[in-house]
Amino acid sequence: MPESEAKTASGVSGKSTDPVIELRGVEKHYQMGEFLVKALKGIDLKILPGDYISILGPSGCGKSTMLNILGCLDQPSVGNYFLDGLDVAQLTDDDLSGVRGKKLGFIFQSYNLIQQLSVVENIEVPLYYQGVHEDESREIAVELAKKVGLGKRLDHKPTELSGGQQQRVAIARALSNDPAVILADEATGNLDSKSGGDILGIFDDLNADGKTLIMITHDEGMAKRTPRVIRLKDGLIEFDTYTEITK
Amino acid sequence: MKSSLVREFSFFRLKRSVILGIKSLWMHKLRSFLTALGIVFGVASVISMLAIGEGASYEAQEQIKELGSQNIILESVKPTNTTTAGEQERSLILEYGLTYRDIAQIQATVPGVELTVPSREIKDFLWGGSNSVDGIALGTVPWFPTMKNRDLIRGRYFTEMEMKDRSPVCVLTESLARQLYPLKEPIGQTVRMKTSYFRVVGVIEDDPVVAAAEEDLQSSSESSEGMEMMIPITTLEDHFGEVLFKYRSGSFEAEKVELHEVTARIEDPNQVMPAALAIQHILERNHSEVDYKMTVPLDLLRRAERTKQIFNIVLGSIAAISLLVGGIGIMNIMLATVTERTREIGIRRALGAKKKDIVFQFLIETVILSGAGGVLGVGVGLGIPLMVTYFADMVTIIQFWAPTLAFGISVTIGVLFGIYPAFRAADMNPVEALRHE
Repeated sequence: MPESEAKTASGVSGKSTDPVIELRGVEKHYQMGEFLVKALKGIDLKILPGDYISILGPSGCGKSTMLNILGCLDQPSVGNYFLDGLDVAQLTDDDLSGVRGKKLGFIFQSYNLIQQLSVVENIEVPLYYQGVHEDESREIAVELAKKVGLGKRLDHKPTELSGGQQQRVAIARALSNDPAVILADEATGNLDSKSGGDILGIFDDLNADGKTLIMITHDEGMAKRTPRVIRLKDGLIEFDTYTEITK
Repeated sequence: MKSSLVREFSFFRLKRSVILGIKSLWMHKLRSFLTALGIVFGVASVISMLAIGEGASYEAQEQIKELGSQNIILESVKPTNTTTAGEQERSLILEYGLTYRDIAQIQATVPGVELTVPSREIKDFLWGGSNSVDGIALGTVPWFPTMKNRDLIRGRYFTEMEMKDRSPVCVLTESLARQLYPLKEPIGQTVRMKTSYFRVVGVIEDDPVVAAAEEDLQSSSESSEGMEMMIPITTLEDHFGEVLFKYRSGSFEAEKVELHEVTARIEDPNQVMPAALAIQHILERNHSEVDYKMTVPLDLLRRAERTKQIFNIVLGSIAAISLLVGGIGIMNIMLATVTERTREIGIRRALGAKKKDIVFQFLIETVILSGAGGVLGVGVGLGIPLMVTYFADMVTIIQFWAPTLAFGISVTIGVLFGIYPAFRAADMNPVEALRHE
């Protein structure tokens, strides 16, 4: 059932490009003492390049697990995950690191900047692990810092910045490796409504530039900004805008 | 486009890791400093203990070497009054010590004995011009300086011809020359002992062993040690006879000693110990009581070397233990650091760091810590021996390999004790590490 629907979905949307993310029957199990907990119970999903998506759901619905799997931080127990045509379930730990570094950009709720590094250096971290040369990576980082409006604070430490500014550094960092997909986990959760709004504005601009963005959130308001919304409930997709449209 | 940006692991990566490591350590300056301090003291103690040990044994060895490593030195020693007490009173002349017969036998039976330097000494006042000093007339042979490793400072030593002719010539030690002729050139002057006059032909350096002993006492004018006038042994016999009379503080004593000292040189350095044994046998047979003393510098040297080895092992292990303690300190702190920076590790893993990148990062940090400690330690370790030399007046020798070794050990300790914390950091689950508060 899901596969045929997904196919029609891509057909209906009129895009001929291959999906950047494809999940097929993904399940994730955790052993909690004697019990086997199924956090995801069979997810089928296709995400196309340039998609702007919110993944919504109450706590405990499997959102975090979904993020970990999409972010290649964890591997599915059952099923397949194709990221940019690569079967992630088959990869070793080192290869997973490589995939994260090359194809994914992360934006976290608590910014997760490295405290001892300056703004520019934080933006450079993914490039460093890709082996990009110093001069080139510095150039890219400075450019991105300017793009998110921190051109004058290149040498500041994270502790010297406001929450909104820190999140902008994190966005610049997520963009530095020119990823196929950007994952934002409750990106505005720690911010006041104004800075949160600014961050969402940046997301809109990024998507307008053609970036694929996936926001994980519990905030219904945020979901209204994105053309596609996926609702999770008890480890299953309860609602997906695309499938609704195709219906 | 991306592939052109991607480079393999290279020098720049190492450089950036080092800079990053320094930044991370700099965040906790005091903690890093205290951790490195353990290594500082370890390295400093290795270097300074080796330097002090080396210096102490060097001093001893130099003194022994001055005696000549191929030499066997025999000396006459006044026997302790035991069985001969009665005899002594009768004859009034105490007869003891090495004899010409001993030398003849040694030369005839012990193989490889090159030369023997017999000497006899008489203690009395020496007069030169208007100065006098309590000194020694040492009757000896022309090859004495060669055998004893003593250099001539001015003039010449007396010759075999002069010994044969029983010429009244003498060679003064440096300090004696200074005492008798402080302002004049001593060569060509005369020195008187009792009623005999001797012409000075040369000045020889002081006996280094005596000189070293005297430096400590600082009362060279009091003792006759080192105040030696060397004359041909034949001349000594001619002028002062075989029996020695001593008048000291009212008592009267007569001694007959044929030879006070004999130095035998063994041609083959490997034969020194067997030759010493052979000589001991001859002397034991010829002398009913022990009125002689045998010194084998080579034997002393070997003993000194063995002592030095033991010394070095003891000092070395103390120093090694302190380095080990320093290493454990580093490991302890690195484990704490890893726990504290779990979140950072998670972030880095999420952003593409492989396990080996994390291992490398933490290893670099420990190596920086221990390396910096090592450098500081080398500095302190080079300073301590200088202070010891300055304040305690002890010879210290820093061998070039000691700082290198100590520094190498400190870095090795950094790597060894850094491996476990680094792997612990790398093995963390990225999901859990990211969630860590």
